[in-house]
Formats: sequence, C-alpha cells, structure tokens
Amino acid sequence: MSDELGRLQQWFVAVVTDARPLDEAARAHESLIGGASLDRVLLPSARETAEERVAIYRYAYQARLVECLRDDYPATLFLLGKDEFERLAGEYIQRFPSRSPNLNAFGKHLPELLGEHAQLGKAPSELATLEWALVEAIHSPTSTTLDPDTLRNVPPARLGEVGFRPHESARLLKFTHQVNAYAQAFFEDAPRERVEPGESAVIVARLGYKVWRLEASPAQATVLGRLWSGEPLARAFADVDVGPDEAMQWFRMWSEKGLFSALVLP
Amino acid sequence: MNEKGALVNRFGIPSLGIGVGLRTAHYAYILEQRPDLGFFEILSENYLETAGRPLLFLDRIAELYPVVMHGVSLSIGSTAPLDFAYLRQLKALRKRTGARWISDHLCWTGTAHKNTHDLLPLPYTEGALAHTIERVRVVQDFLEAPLALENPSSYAEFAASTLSEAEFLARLSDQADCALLLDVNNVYVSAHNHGFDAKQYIHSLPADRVVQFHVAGHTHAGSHIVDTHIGPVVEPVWELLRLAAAHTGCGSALLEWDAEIPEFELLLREARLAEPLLGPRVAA
Repeated sequence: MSDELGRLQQWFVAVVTDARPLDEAARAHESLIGGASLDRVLLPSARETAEERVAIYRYAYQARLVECLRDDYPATLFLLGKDEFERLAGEYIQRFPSRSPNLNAFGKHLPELLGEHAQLGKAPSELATLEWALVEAIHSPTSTTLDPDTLRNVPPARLGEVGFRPHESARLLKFTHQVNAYAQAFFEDAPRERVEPGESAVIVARLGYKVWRLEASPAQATVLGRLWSGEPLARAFADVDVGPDEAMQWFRMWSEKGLFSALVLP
Repeated sequence: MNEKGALVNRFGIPSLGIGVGLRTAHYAYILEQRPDLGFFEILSENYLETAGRPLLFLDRIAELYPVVMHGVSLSIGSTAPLDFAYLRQLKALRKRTGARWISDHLCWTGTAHKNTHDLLPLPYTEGALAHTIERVRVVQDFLEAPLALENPSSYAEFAASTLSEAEFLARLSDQADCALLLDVNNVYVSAHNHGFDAKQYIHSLPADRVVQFHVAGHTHAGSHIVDTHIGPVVEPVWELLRLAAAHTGCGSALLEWDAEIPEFELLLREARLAEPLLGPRVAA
C-alpha cells in the first residue's frame, strides 16, 4: 500500500507544483498513476470538477511561496513592480523549490536569480542582497556584543595589536548602487522610482531586537572589512586618512550598534 | 466531565481556557500589556532554524504564559521518510518552551524533495490508515510528548477513499493512541466543500481524545470555502464549537487569525466569545 500511496502522492505533488497549464501538467505526470486521468483519481464535488479542485491546490502553492518572497523582499517588489516580481518569483519557485520544513531560508537565492537577469541591471539584485541580509540578521544567533568601554582596559602600547571578532549577525555589503538610500526611502513610505547608481557600502547587524542598517564611507568600509577579516587595529587603519579622535568615534558607534562580539589580544 | 459523563480527556491534559496564535505583530503588545489569556499557540516552524530574534521574544512570552506547539510540517501521512532532524528540533523547542502538547495536521505536505508547505489531503483508505498509525506511534515515542492531530480543511477528495475522514481520525487516534485537535472551522469548511454533515462528523469523533479546539474565520470563494483564518468567526462555526464542547468537555479553545491580523485587543475580544461555550478552566 505504501508504494501505491507513494505514487499517488508523487503524482499529486507533481501536478500541484508544475507551472504548466493544468491539462498539460496532468498529462505529463499520468504515468505515475498508471496512465489514469485526473478525474479518475480525484472526485468532483457538487459544484466543482476534479480539475477545478486540484487547481485550488496549484493556486495555493504558488500564492504561499510568492507571499513568502514578498514578505522578505518588500523593497525589491516595489522596485520591480508587482507583475515583474511575481513573474520572477514564479521562475524562482520552479528553480528553488522548498525542501525545508520551514520557509525561513526559502528566499535565500533570489539575489542570485535576479543577478542572472542581465536586462534588469544590477540594482534589483543588490537591493535584494541588502534585504536578505536583514532577514539573516533577524535569524542570526543572539550572542553577546562587545562593551564599547572594553578598549579602555587595553594598555595604550598594545592598542595597535587589538583585533575584533565580528558579531554573528553583522554583514558588510558593497554595492554599485545606492541601495540603502532606496531602502530607507521605501521603509519611510517615501519610495523612489529608481535606485541611483554610485558605489556604496552598508553595514547590517542586529543588536537585541533591533536590526540596523548603517551607511559606511569608503574609509569606514575599508577599516571594518580589515577588522572583520582578522587584521589588528594598526593594520586596519594603515593608509586610511583618519585622525585618532574620529577613529575612536567610529569604533564607539560600531560597538554601540553591536558589530563586534569580542576583543582579541594576541 | 462531558455530557455523557466521560472523562474530559484520557491524557490528563488540563484545560487551558482561551488562547490565540502568537504572531510577530503582537510581540511588543503582549510583553508590555500582559493581557489576561489562558495560553498562546506557537507555530512551531517559525522558531526552528533560527537562533535569533523570534526566540528572544518566545523565551520571554513562554515565561509568562502556557504555550502549546502547533506545526505544519510533520507530514504525518507522507510516504517520504520521517524527518528526524525536524523531530529533534521539535523536541528541543518543546523543552525550551515547556509546551503542554504538540499538534499538527492529518495531512502530508510533500515528497522527500519538495515541500509544498500546504496541508495536502490523504486518500482515506485502510492502507493509508495503517501507514499513518505506524508513523504516529514512531513520532510519539520519539517526541515523548502528547501529540494531537488536527482535522484538516480540504478542497479535494480521492476516488480511492473507502473511509470518511471522521472514521479515519477516530480509528487513527484509537490505534495510535494519540490526541485530537478539533478545528471546528475546518469541519465547517470541509463539510461545505465535500457535502458531509458537520454535526455528525463531530459526534463521530472520540470525545475523550479531543484536547484542544480551533476556531477561525474563512472565505467563500464561490464554489468552495477557503480556510483563510481571516476575520471574525461566523455564527455557524461558534455553533459547532458549542456542540463540540458539549460532546467532549474540552476546555481549551484557540482563535486563529492569520490574514489581515487585527490589533491584539480585537483579537482577544473575538477569542473570548468562546469562553461561555467551554467547560471549566483548569489551572495549568
């Protein structure tokens, strides 16, 4: 029986998840049920044919997963427009069907898929990358963050040797477009029509309940990138044109935003 | 005791009174206002494969209220192998929250390589029954927790079915020795979609296995009704709850409202409409 039930379930899933028109999908998979037609397997109701009934599940499958992508990528949805977003979401669902018991990571590959559509330009993929970083920050472990005053305990002579472990939620993202400005305007209900070109860097992290997005200047991005790759303070600031007071200000701001989890002294 | 003088439920599971589904939109309100409520039902999957913010909120809420876990991915009727990684996560989540019981649906959700995230209907056959009984036993042994299976809402029926859904559930719960979560809105929806008698369905279920009720709103889509969990509960569904509560004596009822989620006060007001229909509340 398990084999028979298994074939029936494989057929049902194949028909429900197949993006082709229902009659085509049903024909394509009928070998799984010994060549039987759909209306031999499913009963009609008083008001619906068997085909209409399975169509409810086909609609629900697409709608549920598109909704999940809409939730994760509201700004990207706005940028692309509903029709284009849903067309691409349909393609996404076929290429990256969910295999997980939950949908937390379902939308992970959307930036990649958008990046493959050269005609869209880079902006949608970059904006989606930023939005996915926000999702990842929500789900990243809630570990301790570095107390900004910790640095005071380091002997001045050894300050240059100090390294910083990045917090698990923290990301440094570099873009060819001003995607954070676009996202900020969108989240403030003042959406823009397009994402302006121009290099930008954005830091994303979560501190407790709050997920942050911070613009980083090119110098800040350089320093932070080096720190997070394990360089000590002295090497991170080498050849970066910034005074000690300003550097301390950056460090304090980053610490307060929870970008570091620990200080490392060799 | 219920109307027939039987024990309320055979598992010794206490009545928790009125509950609502825990939703992100209400986290802050709940923690600030601490509304008077019997319990929260969490959607188990929302707290799996995350180590972050959802668990921060959940930990605080589970300190304040009794919690029950409700899942959508157990896929108990599937022929795909049981997902023990998922079951391990469920077990850990129960330990973390102290959830009184774990529930999921009489359904399946996909194959080994594709999860539809939908509650797909089973053919109600002797073979499917035997298959599902075996899996429920394994899952209960593994979870070491009461497992309640919910009657699904459905939109299609298999020609191969030889049992009614109520009969299937009654035999399944008896032979696998599991509990039932009776969703009276699902009974209403499926009764409309498939043309069966909702009251007869409820009376066919073993009263002493029902440990929780669900009520919810739904949407008429012309030729069928969809279980959308939207809006207030309609009077015929309250009537089914009244009937089910009298039949089973169960005193735990939960309002599901998942689309166009209202302010918490409105949600709570709607949920409390169930209160006079239930049996006495027993401290958890």
